[in-house]
Amino acid sequence: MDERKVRTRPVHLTTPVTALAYHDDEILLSGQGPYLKASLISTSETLKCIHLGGDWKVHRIVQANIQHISDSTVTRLLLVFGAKSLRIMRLVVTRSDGKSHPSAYFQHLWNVPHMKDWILDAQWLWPKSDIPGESPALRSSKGVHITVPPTSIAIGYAHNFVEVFDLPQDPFTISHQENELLQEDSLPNFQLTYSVQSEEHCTLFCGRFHNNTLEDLWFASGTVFCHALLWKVHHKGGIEAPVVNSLIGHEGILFGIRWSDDGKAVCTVSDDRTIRVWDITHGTNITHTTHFGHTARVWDCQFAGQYLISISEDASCRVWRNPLLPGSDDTDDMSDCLACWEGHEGKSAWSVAVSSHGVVATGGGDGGIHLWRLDSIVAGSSDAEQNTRDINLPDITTYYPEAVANEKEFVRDFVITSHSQSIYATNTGYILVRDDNNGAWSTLYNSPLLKNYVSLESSACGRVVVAGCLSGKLAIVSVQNEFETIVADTIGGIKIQFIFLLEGESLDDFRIVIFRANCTVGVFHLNISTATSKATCDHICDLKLPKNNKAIHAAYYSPLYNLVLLGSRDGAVMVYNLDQVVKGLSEPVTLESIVILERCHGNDSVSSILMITERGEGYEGRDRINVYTTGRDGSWAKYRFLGLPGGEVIGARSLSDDDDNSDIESDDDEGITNMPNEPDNHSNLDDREGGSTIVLQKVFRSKITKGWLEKIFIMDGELLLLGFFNKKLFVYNESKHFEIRSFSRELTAGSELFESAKLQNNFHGREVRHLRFLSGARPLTEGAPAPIIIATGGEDCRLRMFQYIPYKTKNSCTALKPLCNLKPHLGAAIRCLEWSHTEVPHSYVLFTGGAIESMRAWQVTMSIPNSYQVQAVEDHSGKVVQEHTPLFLGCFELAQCPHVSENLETRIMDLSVFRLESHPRMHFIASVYSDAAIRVWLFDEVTNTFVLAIDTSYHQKCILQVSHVRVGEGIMMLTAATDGKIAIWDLTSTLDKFLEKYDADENKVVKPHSPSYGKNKQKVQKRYAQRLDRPIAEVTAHMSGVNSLYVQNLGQDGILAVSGGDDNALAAVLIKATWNPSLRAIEAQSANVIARDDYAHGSAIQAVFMINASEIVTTSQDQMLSLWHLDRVGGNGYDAALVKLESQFVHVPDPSTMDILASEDKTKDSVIIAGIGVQIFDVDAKK
Amino acid sequence: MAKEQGWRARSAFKLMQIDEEFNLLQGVTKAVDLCAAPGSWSQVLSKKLVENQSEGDEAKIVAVDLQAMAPLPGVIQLQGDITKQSTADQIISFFDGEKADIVICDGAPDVTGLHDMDEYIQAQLLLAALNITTHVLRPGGSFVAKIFRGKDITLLYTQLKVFFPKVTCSKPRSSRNSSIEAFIVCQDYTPPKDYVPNMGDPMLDLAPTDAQGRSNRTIVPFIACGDLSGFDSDMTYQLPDTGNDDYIVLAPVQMPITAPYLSAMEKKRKGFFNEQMSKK
Repeated sequence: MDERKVRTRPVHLTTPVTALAYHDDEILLSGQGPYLKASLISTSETLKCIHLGGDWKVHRIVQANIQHISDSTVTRLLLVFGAKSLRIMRLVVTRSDGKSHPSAYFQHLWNVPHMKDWILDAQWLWPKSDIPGESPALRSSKGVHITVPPTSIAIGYAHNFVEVFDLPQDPFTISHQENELLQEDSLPNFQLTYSVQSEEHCTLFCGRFHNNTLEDLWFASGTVFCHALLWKVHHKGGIEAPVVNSLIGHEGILFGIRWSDDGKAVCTVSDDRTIRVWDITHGTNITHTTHFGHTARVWDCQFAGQYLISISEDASCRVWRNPLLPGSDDTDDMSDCLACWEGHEGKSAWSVAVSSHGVVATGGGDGGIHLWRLDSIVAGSSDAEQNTRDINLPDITTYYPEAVANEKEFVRDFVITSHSQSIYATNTGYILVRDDNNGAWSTLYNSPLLKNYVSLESSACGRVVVAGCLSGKLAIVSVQNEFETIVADTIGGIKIQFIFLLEGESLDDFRIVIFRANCTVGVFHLNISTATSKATCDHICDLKLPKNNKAIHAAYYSPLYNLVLLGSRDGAVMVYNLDQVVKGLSEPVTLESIVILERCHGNDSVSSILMITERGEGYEGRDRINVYTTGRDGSWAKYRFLGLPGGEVIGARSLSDDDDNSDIESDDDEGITNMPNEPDNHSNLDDREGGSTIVLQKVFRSKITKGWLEKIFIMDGELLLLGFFNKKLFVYNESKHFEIRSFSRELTAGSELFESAKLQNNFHGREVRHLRFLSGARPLTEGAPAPIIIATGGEDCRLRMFQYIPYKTKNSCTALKPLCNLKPHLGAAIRCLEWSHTEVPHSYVLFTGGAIESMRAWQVTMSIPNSYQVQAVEDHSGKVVQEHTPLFLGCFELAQCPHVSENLETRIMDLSVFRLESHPRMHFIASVYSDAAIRVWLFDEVTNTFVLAIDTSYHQKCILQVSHVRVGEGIMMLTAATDGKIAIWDLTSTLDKFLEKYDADENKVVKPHSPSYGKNKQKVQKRYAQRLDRPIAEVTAHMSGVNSLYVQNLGQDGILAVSGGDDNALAAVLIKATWNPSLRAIEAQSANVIARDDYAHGSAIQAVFMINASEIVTTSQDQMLSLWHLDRVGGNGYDAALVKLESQFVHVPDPSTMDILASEDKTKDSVIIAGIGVQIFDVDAKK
Repeated sequence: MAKEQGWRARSAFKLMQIDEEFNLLQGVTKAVDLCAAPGSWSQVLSKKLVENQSEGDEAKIVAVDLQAMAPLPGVIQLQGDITKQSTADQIISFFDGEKADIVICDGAPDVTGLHDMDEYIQAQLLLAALNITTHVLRPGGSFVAKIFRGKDITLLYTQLKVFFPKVTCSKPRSSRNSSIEAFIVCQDYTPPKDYVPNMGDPMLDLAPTDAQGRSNRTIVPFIACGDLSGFDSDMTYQLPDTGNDDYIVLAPVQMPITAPYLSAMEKKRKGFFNEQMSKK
């Protein structure tokens, strides 16, 4: 490397969190790739984040004791290691007045970049004389009071040997500049004082030290041969140390091993999905317990007081009862899993730490950090039966003087009206109130009307109780005696089965919806005037249910729009407009519904409905009117009302969505079929005399539990869901995507209401296969920079979008703001995605393609609050720039492309999207398939449908890449396959032919505003499809698969395509072609490989881009990012040469995709690379 | 496809395609198959070596694996750990003082998903195979092993170059394009002067792994082998239309003999996990 300034530098990274350790109850240390971070758990704030240098990732952080520098400042020694590298550091924490907001930074003391072998564990060692007592449990760092500094360190290696080094200096007194990265190797300064090989030579996946003096040091090794070996490091005689104990029982490789603090027990985890706890107190008589529960490999398990805490490949963290504690003998192995915490996406939780206050932190393969409370187990583990109180009615004679002796009395129905009050309707026609604080009973009302049958309901405020009678009458009773009880009649004298008492215009105003035994529905208007102590209840109308409708299970009244929404037991939602009631008629009318949506929750019951109006938040400043439902199918759904007064209207682009984390999942696990049973996702009916149409449009449905969802409500602006699973009630925060708390019994409003929280946002939990920046995005408000939006998709079948906010958090790895998280299809990994623009401001179309031949069109809209002020912020160099504005993004599925091939396994490998100036609302999607098909689809914005424009097969191989470039007025398409060949096509005349046919057709299928999936699977519209002739040129660029292809038109110089191959090679292909305007055709003169580097990378090249006319950026599975210059002066038999300018290590394993976005001022490009995680680099523009 | 032709795994095609390109099995009669299970490479060896044998030069194949393997005709099977001296001694003993013409290793350790750890373990397995190779391979012989072209692969190339002047990275077309699997073909075994094979000293990889070290790395030639017009493992083919919709899905020719999670599977079958779910 020469002295020239490096032009590429990393600016952001999200990869698996592989190390966690608590400094104290407030500060959590984490290792993510090469970054070491200190975060404040109370605020999720990153206090400090430093890059440790090198190409290793932090695997473990081993802390030593604290030293108090002053009243407000402490330092702690850290051994940070990963792979073969080791750093010795100091953490300095300052709390200015002891309690307030702390600050933290790291100091580098020593750097050992390359130890002899892979490091499995490291340990601080003290001279025996410095350690008071026996077997100090320093690893837990609790209650140990060593004030002197450690003098040496022990390193345990993967080949089952241990080395001990003396520290060259007192680590507390060594002076060093803050955060200064040490480059030189400190190993020569370390004296190797002891070295020992275990007698068992083998390769280990895990190992752990116990104790902190060389004399007492033990090493526990977990082998690939299913054994755990315990051996004493220090021994006399011979270089090989004997194994003291072999723990035999596992049936697979050991992945984790831990000691208990007192060294009396060892816990091991394995490939065999088990956790085993070994009692080693009795010498050779070792017993163990086995714990099953994880559904995939277990990575680690540690002792934490009365618990064991394990993490697994199944992405969950489980809590178990420690079997070695007294009293645990009476429980069998089957019931010892106390909690299973599932918060991480995709595969694997990799790291775990427990604070002394019982907050468990887990780090995921998805790059997120979750916090969980151990004390939530105590609350949740109690049995439902145990905590249920029986309530017995008082002796009948105390309230029913005429009671016949031995009269059978029982509760017909009951309601809970407040925290301390419940109301019961009895068989003898009494309504009794119980004070739940003291158990006192009083009579509220009694009537012969209520004898033998009552259906009871109370208002949300608890002031009114309505009793429905066998005779169809309603008794309306004031709980606090605010008005006299009234009895209202309904038609026909039919038994009232269910009552819904809904809030109206004011606190004194209600609507009562009743469901009668003959499947009819009545609506009443109840007004309780406290001024006159009188209540009125008028029968407004009846509502007509659809044919064959089952019972009503949910109802909602909207005073603002005078609408009643009903949810039925078979999953339908009906909307009725009470404005249609004609006043002054003697008989109440029966209203027809204005909207019916069927199968909103499959065939399961709709359990609750909620309607929320967001003033001025909709398109063009109109009101956004959302409707939410929950269902017994375990899902919740969101809809949007269009066409209501003041609200968004139909036809305008009004379908954006603002939910951060919404999942769409199909109903069933089969998932192969394209939601064939999904009904039309909106329904409408012409309404009101003006003929305006009201539409209830489904935005999405998300399944969050295998149990039931019962209620949806908004609290402090966050959407909360209430449901039951396995007899437990849980509350789920949909906005933040986690379960707040679950109860087997009562809801207590405690101060610590969270069971879990997200400390750090996550990325995809599995490999990302494709990502794209939204290029050409426009600023959302004057003066703000254009937002940087990234769409990502991959093996987890999720489509996610993020906003990259540069400079926002200089020190942290959290500059990616999650915007949406959709799981459109189970089993369809996303392989490719491309953006397209529309003529509507801030509205874009995204196309995704992937497995099982799935291709979808999404509408993406973005907005910011109207009141937003642009802020200034310092960039990396300290220059003041405009801050990127965090925005809201809505993503809505517009259409699904129909299947063409017969084999369901066919994958869509790549897409290339373009629009023609003559047809601005048409998007053309060139797509290549794993069965060698090449298809160009038209996505028509007007009809929201995919139409097949060109259908051809070529290459006879799996086609990997497709790209396009404009040549004159024509479109040149390039396709490349696994055989290394690139075919060059002229699409122009074929597209002309297609458009001529398509535009001329007056009978096009027009289904406005409806996604293409309906009750019937959409058929392919093939009638306009054209075939392509032969490619205009073909060139072999690689020996095997062409993994990446980038093409640009250099004008006079020709068209330049660069490609990266599975064969490690980078090739540049020059295509000489001209546009013939009279023939409307591209004429190719030649296509040749003009430069090639067979040794461009150490492994398959995964992505290639050009940042200008001569510079190329590549990345490969060798985890390098390289910058190249294409020198048009040739050599080596080629016309040009590829010169590598510089290389950077990429900290994302399995890098699969890359994209590039030029900054607005053209001074640099942002390069984003994703695989297992994501990394962003800045590349300075060529000077 | 592999199953249709009676091979135990698709990897049989991979060895055949490598052989087509490099002619590695020409005239070979003594071979060692390390990490042999389920045995498809031994199957190929057995077929080819029998063709090569002559009187006084009989084919001999020693197949070693940690796992037990179903018997194969003409193949001496050895269950053992290739990182152990005793295993090396046993292999040598089967050759009666002779040495092998070729050592092949299609082994891949379990991957965890922590890529750097997986690469380390894979490298250790390959180095163990190389170590045992230095005990049993005749000078001029060849060594073929499966590799994963990850971030540290160039360090392995450096190490292999110490023993073999000709090292090529080869990817058979029967290996998926999307897979990072490839095969290292090392020819003309030439141990360094005074080199004494020693199983006691595992060959820990030598080179530093910092970014500077990467710029001076060894990249070996890449050769895609196999017929270009042949089967493309990435391509989606329409299943053969037999006319009566009864294309039979073939069972594996050889089922795996053991798996570490059998007990967990057994519990799952008995409904253990469901039971536990309902208890929470």
